[in-house]
Amino acid sequence: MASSGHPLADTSEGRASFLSRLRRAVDEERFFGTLLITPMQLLLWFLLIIPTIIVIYLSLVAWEPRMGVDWWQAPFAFLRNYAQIFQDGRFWAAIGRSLGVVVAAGGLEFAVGLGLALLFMRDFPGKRIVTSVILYPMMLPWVVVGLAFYLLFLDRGPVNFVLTQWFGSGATVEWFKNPLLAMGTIVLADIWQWTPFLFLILYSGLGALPKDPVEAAMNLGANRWQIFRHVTLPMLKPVILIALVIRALEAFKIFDLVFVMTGGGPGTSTETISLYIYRVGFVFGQLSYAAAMAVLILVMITLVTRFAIQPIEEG
Amino acid sequence: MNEAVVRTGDYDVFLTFCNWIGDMAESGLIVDQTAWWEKYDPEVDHGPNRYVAPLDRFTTLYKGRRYALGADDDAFSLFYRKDIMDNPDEAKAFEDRYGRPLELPKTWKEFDEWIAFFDRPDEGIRGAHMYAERYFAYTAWAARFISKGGAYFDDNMDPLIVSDEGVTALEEQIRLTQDHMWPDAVTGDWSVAYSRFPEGSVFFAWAWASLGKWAQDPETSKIAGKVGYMDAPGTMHDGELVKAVPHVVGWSFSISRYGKAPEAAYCFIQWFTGPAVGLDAIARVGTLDAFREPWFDDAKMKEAYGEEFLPVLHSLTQNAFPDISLRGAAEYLDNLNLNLQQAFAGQKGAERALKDAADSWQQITDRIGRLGQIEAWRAERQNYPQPIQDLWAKLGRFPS
Repeated sequence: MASSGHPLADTSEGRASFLSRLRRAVDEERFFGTLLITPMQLLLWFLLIIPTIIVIYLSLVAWEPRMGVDWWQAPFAFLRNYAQIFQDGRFWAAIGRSLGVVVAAGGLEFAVGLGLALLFMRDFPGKRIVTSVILYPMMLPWVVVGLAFYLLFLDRGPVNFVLTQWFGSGATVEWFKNPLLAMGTIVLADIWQWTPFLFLILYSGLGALPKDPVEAAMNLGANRWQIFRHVTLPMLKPVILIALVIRALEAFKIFDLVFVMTGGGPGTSTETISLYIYRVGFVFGQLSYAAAMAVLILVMITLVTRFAIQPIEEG
Repeated sequence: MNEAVVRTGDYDVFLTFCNWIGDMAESGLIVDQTAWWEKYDPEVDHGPNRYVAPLDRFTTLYKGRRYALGADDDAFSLFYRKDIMDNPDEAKAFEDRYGRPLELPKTWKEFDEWIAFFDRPDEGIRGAHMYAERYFAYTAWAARFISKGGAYFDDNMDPLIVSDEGVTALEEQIRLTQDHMWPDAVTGDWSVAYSRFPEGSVFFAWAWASLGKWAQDPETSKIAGKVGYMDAPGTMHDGELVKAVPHVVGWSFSISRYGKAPEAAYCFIQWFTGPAVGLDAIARVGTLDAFREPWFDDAKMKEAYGEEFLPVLHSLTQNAFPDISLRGAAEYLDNLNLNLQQAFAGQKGAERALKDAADSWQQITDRIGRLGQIEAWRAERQNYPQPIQDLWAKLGRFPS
């Protein structure tokens, strides 16, 4: 290190040199870090960003495969596809049904999942085995669950068999003929499969909560409900929000169960938005219109998600 | 249609529903085979090995050009419980009730009474299984509608389904479905017919010809040896019975524009569907059905189908009409099906269901391009069986 003979000068020169070395190190580290994340960034570009750009582009042109031209040669439609969405009653009805699934399935899954999580906070014999069994439905493919519930609720299926055994031969229910009942069976299948997911997250969240506030509340004479309502639940709020957002996003996109169990029928009475977009894109061949619907859904979901996780960001 | 977009060239030949030809041709995915037909002569519309008309037309043509080579006959076939029908007690009871002898029904009116008579829910057997579900709900309705003189569109592609013929046909079929079928005719899928009829829980079923083979096989059926086959009912017009049989799916071969050797691929499909190889393939494997005239007299085919069924299938095929085969065929049919299924499920009245379907058809036509669709429809209606075309002419359905 160079010295000017003055202690203060020495100090300031030394500091400058240190800062310069630090900056160089940071630059080198930044370069190294950039180098490390570049492959992942490139992968993301290819897997996420470029396809998204193509979908947005497709939504702005008028293209169908049967037109006989390539998608990049298709004429611009600008916002015509989006304008069409606002006049498409089938689209909005499908959105409504998807939201219905989110509210019905998500709400019940949360209630049952939280109840189970609270129950499992206590020790009981065979707890580990029961926990594994509860998680099992979540590991099954959607299609398998859909088929199982379709078979259960068939006109001659086990559910109607049990009903006739209990209430007589006239007690069969036409589950898939009535729109409400048909949607009910789909929601039930979703609840059976995805309650374990909410249970798992909430159970982990409960297990990670600090014990002191609960003990303090107990010492102050709070009863179990008061402790749950005013201590446990507020502390668990971020976990609950994350769990609900993830589950709501998944439930909104429900496809397989509907496809297998009702095909969206009778008519379109159980058709959800994913099934409708699939039909428009891959059965009707209107890929541009399907792309516009997908983009609009993406925007809507992004806004709702931002709104939903805002309380977590605000602490 | 994926190949139309990505053009891998990995496929030489496509085996698809024959009503997809319009979409595939317009996308440029498949090639016009007309020149090869002239060069190699696949014996489709002439000669002793010709296809049963009108299969020679609607499994091969789009806008008057040959884009495909039919490989199948999917004229919907009618099956009933011969053992019950032949019971003398039933014959007497039927005559007492309707004042006429018990015979196979010739008209739709007779058919409805016949089904109602044999509907015995208390004995665990319903009158019929006819598709009223999400994907094939149109079949039975269309058979009635077209035999009454109905047509899907007029000469300018305006839908004609909201008409007396359309509404009456749907009202009749709704009554039959709601009063004399199990609920899974509406809520099940195509495979339900393949369990209901062979297990003996319906008296009558209308489905693909393969159901006959399935029902006669003791390994898959409880009613083997008890199956009867019948021609389609029709509608009387000035003393003449006009029958219309839906031809549903009907596999056909087309050639990829992006394949490496399109002409060689064409030669392969001509060989595969040819008089000798095709016969062997159909008689032995059984997933496709007979479509060439001489095969209906062939010993191998008689063994595969049974002596009784083959002439019935031949007659049904002669009255078979095509699925909508225009560009957007899947979309037209889907919109029709979903509205009909709602009508069968009791959610919509007949007229409302058909009006909703017609409105959606107008939108599809306008979006795809009315002029092109008019050209395709004018060509497509020439592919209908001659008796139906004659009836349309008599009713002045289209300008001459």
